[in-house]
Parts: sequence; C-alpha cells; structure tokens
Amino acid sequence: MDMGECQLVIGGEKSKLNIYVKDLYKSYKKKPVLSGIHLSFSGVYGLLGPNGAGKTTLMKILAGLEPFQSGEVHADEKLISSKSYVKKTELIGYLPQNFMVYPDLTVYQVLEHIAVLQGLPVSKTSLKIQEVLEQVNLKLHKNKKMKELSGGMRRRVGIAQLLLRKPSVLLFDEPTAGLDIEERVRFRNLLKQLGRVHTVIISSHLVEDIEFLCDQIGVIRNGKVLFEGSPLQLKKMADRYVFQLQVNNYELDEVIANHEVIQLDDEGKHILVRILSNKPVGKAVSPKLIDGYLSLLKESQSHE
Amino acid sequence: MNRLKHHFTFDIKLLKGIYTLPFVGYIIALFLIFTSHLNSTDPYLPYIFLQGVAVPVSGLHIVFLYSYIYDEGSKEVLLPYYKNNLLYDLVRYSMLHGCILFLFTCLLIWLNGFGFFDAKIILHLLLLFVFYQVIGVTLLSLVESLELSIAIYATYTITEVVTKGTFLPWPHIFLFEEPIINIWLVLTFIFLILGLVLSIVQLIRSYK
Repeated sequence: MDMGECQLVIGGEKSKLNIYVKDLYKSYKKKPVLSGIHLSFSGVYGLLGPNGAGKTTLMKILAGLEPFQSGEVHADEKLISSKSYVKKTELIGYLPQNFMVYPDLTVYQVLEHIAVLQGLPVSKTSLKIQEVLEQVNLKLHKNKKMKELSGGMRRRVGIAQLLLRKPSVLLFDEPTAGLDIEERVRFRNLLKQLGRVHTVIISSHLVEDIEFLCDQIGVIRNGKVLFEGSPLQLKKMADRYVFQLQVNNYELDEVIANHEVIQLDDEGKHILVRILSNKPVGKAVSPKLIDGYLSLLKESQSHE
Repeated sequence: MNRLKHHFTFDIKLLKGIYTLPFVGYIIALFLIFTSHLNSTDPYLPYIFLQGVAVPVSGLHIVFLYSYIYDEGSKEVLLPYYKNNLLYDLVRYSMLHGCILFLFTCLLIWLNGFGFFDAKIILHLLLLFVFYQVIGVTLLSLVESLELSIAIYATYTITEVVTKGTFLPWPHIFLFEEPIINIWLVLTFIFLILGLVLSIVQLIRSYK
C-alpha cells in the first residue's frame, strides 16, 4: 500500500500518521550524538532537552536531511528508512529554526516557486497559495518581501510552504526561538491548530513552548532518551520534590543562594518561591511540567 | 511549457542584474573573436576565446541559481526541492547555452571554414561544454559558498587561458593549438572525462 493511502480521510480530517523511531544511532567523528533512540511520535509531540541534547539532529534525520549509522524509522506499520536515511520524506515537512529563503522576493513569489518545485502545475498554484496563506493568516502580507517580514511571519511562511504539499507529519525545530512574546503566543496557537490535522513534533529546550500544547513528551539529553510519556507523567517525576516558600524581599537572596529556585511570583507584600529539593523546605505543592522536567534532568545528572 | 516559462521568469526575478552576466561574457567573447580574427593570422586564436570565455560563462547561471540553497536558513528547506529539479535545471540551461554556443561555432566556421572543425575539436568542444555545465554547481556543492566556488572556477579558467596552459602543471582541459594525436591530447581528454565523472559522482552524493 502506498504511504499516501495511509492517511484515511475521516470526517474531513486525515487520520494522523504516527512515527516510530527504533534503536537509532548517530555519531559524528566517532562521537555519539544519538544512542539507541526509541521514540513513538504521535499527536502533538514535544521533544524536550537542553541545548546540545541531539534534538535538531534527530529532527533532521526524520526529515531525511541527515544520515544515521543504524536504526529504523517507521510511519505507522511501514518502514520509511533505508540503511542510513529516512526515505519517504514527502510524508514529513521540516521547518528549521532560522527559516529564510529568497530574501528579495515576495511571499507570493516564494510560495509560487516552491509549489512549482514541489510539482504542482503552475495554473493551480494561485488557488493553493491563497488557501495556505489563509491557514497561516498571512493573506494581507503576500506582497511583502521576505526580508521585510518579522521572525514570526517568516516562520509562518515556512509553515505555508510545508502545507502546500500536505505532509502528514510536521517537524518544528525550536519554533519560538527569537520571537517576541506576542508572536510566540500567535505561533503556539497556530501549532495547536495544525495539531488537529497533522502529527506535529516540536523540539524545544523551553518547557513553556510545549506546555498545554503537547499530548506526548519525550526528553533527551546527551543523545539518550530520558523520558517518554504524557505531560502528567512528566509532572509526576517531581512529586514530593517541589516546595513553596513565602519570603520577604530581604530574605530572597539567601533563599536563592541555598536552594534550587525554579520560580518566583511577586505577590505584593511577599514573594512566593518555588523550590526543587530532596528535603522538605516549606509547603509541599503539586508539581508543574517544568518541575518534572528539571527533576528529571537533575536525576540524570546525578547518575553520570 | 508553462513550467519552463515559470522557471525562466522566476530565475530572472531572482537574479536580477546577475542574470545578464553570462550574456555579457558572450559579448566579450564575440568582441575578442572578431578582434583576434582581424589582427592575427592564427585561425586558432578565435577558437581559444570560444573555449576560454564563451564556454566557461555558459555554466554560470546554474551556479548563481543554486547558490541560494546555501544562504543561511535555506538549505534544509530548498535542498530537498532542488535535488528533484537538478537534472531539469541542468538540461534547460544546457539547451539555452548550447544554442548560443552553436551560433558561436557557426561564426567560427564562417571565419575559419568547415575544415577547421575536425572530429577531435568537435568532441573536445562538446566535452568541455558539458564539463562547464556541471563543474560550477559541483564546486558549489563542495564549498557551499558562491564567492569561493566562483573564485576557484575563474582562477583556474583565467590562469589556463591567459597563460595558454603554461602556468599550471596540470590538469589541462583546453586546446591551445591544432590538435595532433599525442600523449598531451590524450591527457586533455582524460582530464576532461575524469573531471566530468567526478563532478557527476559529487553531484549525486550531494543531491541524492
């Protein structure tokens, strides 16, 4: 069966394709970058990890842009990798961190050319471009040059060019890096919308990028998978380790010096300090996603 | 046909003034061919300008166009699309420049007579043309910089043509005097064929 046929149309929406990575190894100049990666990407998936964890490498491998030494990549049941490359890349659309193409051309000209490069007949490009520009809310900016666009708009053009060829899986590498707060919110909302019809994989080192957005999370560090599960399961990693202290302004420096402070909330008269600790410090509180992520990283560091 | 028209129109919009550079090169080659014909009795001199100026500039369009892949933030997006279109782009620009170079060849036949183009020269000219269609984009895929690849391309060509192959020890791919079958002619053909094969291997590696 052709992979395109895997996307059954149910109620006007495609059933989403799941991607399974099995025992993937990648090294660069004999230094391991990814070691024995096992991950199951489905729904809206957040790939978390500190800088240098191997997230971008994994995304590029999935997009067929980088080779790997061993392992397999499956789309649902079907193997889509050869010995060293992911092959069926028409199923997968990848948006790099710093997307920029043809800076002196307009959004419309760029999309028209990419559509033709993708194999769309020239006569059908106009309608298709209008459709994707509407989806990414850029209809009013189609005659602007690429170099005149803000970072967020440019990334939306990046999404538009991916949507032209209707991939089943969308990969976003650090999608909100370098965007201002307004653009971040707008971009996250767009990712949420895309998640309704596509499998979306978001790689980020920022927990707030994927909080409330993802239904599955994977955490990698130094090329190894530390965790894979639901946001709730990740939160649970910090159960009994998160505490809250109510301190005055003058006490704050001392608390920061002696504890691992993860969040500060100014409450006017006092400051609420959230602390990650093995020993009880103040009042135990229910953990947030970032608490689970930090305690997971802390635990993995202690095993090294 | 629509697709072909779109690609050429897009290339002109994208490259703007740079698009005219190969044509400027042709005008210079034409000028040099006529000047050398008028001022020299050596029938081979105009042919050197065809080989050393007109043929090398015929490979520049594809280099300019493919340089956009290597702009920051473009490679991951454009490379998958360009690799599917490389052969198409090579063919359409080879057709365009092949036609222009055919006119140059007709001009040389008019200046030097039919007898000038024997089988060795025709085969060499064809190989040189194909070599220059692929070598620029091959260099670009290796060094991933327009400036650097053009510098290598131009330095080799200019040094070889200006010194008529006396400066660089090897490889020589041009014919600067009437070809007689000897080891130097064989080596010229070997270098051209080797250059072509290696270029194609590199292009397959980069754009597979």
